[in-house]
Amino acid sequence: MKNLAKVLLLAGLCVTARLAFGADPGPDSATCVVNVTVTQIIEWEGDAYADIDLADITAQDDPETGFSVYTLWINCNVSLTADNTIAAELDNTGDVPPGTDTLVTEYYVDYDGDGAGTTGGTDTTYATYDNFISGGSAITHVDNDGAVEITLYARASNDSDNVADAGDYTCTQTLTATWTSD
Amino acid sequence: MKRNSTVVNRIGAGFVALFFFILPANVLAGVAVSPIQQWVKVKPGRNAYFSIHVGNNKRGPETRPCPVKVEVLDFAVSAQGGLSFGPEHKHRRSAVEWISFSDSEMVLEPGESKEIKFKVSAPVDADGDYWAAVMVGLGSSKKLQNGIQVNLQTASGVFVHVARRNYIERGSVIDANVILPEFDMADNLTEKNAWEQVSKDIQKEQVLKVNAELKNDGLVAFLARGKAYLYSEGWHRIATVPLHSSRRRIFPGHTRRFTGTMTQPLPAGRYKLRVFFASDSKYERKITRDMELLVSDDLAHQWAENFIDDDTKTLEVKPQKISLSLNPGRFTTARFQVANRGLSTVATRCRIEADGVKEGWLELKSPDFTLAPNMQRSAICSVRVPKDAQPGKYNAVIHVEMERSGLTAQNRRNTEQYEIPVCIVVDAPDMYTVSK
Repeated sequence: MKNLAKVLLLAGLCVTARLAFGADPGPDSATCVVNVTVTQIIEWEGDAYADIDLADITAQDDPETGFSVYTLWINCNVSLTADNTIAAELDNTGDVPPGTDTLVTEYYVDYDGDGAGTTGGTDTTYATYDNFISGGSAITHVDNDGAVEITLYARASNDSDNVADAGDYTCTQTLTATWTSD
Repeated sequence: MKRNSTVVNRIGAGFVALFFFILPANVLAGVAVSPIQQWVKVKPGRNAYFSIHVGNNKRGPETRPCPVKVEVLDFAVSAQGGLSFGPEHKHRRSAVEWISFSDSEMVLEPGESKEIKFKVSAPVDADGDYWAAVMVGLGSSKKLQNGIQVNLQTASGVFVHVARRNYIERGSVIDANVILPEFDMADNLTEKNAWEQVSKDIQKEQVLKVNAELKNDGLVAFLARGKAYLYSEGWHRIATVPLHSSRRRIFPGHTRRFTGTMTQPLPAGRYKLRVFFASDSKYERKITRDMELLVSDDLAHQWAENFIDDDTKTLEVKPQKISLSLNPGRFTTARFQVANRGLSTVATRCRIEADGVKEGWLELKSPDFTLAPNMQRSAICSVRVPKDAQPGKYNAVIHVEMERSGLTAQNRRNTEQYEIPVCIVVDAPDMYTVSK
């Protein structure tokens, strides 16, 4: 009698175990939250490497202008600075043979957005190379607009009471996108 | 072995140089840099590490390989807040010589990105804040025969804090002055219909202007905010002028110019003006400087006659509402633009009022700022939805409180308040079913 009870108990355990482990478990569900943090990014994209060609100056009062367009992809506010040293002033020191003269060199930037409704900044006006956006030009980022088109204009001219020496004039302007302060 | 590696390096540099030279014109290339500023903490005599990511995003089939040049440079900040880069701006708190890295020149293929690792080795006697910039330049074309060669580059600021102890911020006002408005009789605006014809430049001259230069005399950088208070002779405050600078963070040894403007006319008389600065930190110290000014009868008369109150609705705030649909655990940012359309400087304070949104979900970065005339700024609100957030709709309000410069007497209202409702809809997380 005692043995029969043990056998029945064992059989019961086996059935329960089979029910427990052999049953269809049904669908399992799991949730997965994917998070990505995007840091502050600045990306220059240029019609590489578009320099500014200027036509020949053929008269004393004959300023020549040119421009080049660049795209700045940003997801934060940035400041644009320029080179205000003599490296950004047109001179003929690289000419063959080297000269010692300079041209009046002026720049301004134009943005395709104003920073209010679209990413951009306030357009500047012509300024000599040493004053061109010398305090930086603020570019304000607007949500869902990740790019601003920047047009750099340049103007070369003779001094008002002078005609520059004949020759080839060159210079290098450097635009730097930088962080802004709080 | 060392000689071999030198030869390999030289050959590599030669290829990069050749690439710079032969890259054809009119091809699209670019370089993305991230982050654009970072703070590195290091103990004296120890090392710390940071990295910068550069990449050439493939934006289409026309994207070409991009030569990239990386340098660590000194930079100077002018009193106006302009940045200048280069070895000629070396200073006594330069971190340039502490920072080492490899891979200063490379060519990034379309779609390729790279992490550049930097090591900062602080000397044992270093103390306080030091700084440098990592300059990432796009390769430039061959030298022009004539015209202007344009180089494009991105500067990433690296601010190194060598912590030896708690630092007290120290500053002093090294210069302050007041410029009273100028009225040329030829530009007299007594006829109101002449207003449209008057250029903005003339209007800008017809304001009271306060200039102050603040110097950081301590060992650590601080974020400064300033105001000028105008008092009658009996020290009764009659006007407030918020002061603005394009860069509020002032590094040790640097000076920064702050400017404030007020359009509202002052009656004739003698006035005292106190320039007041404080910093954002808990160790803030107030820095002041007093001066006096006189408004003559003639000037007061002209000022009052020419004054046209166009500052009634100074601020523009966009968007009117922020709506976000987010999953639990999501971290994102939302921006809103604040623009000052007036001729007076404006101090702006933003704060969040929770209306269903739990504490810690929303945070404003730099909630206090000042806007110069005709200036705008985008403010950032970071949004962090907890992982255990229940699906539903949560609300909050961003209050934008603006105080423009002007007379505080005569019951004038120099403050404006705006509200930006924020609505966050937390979605139920997507369910992914795994069947056996």
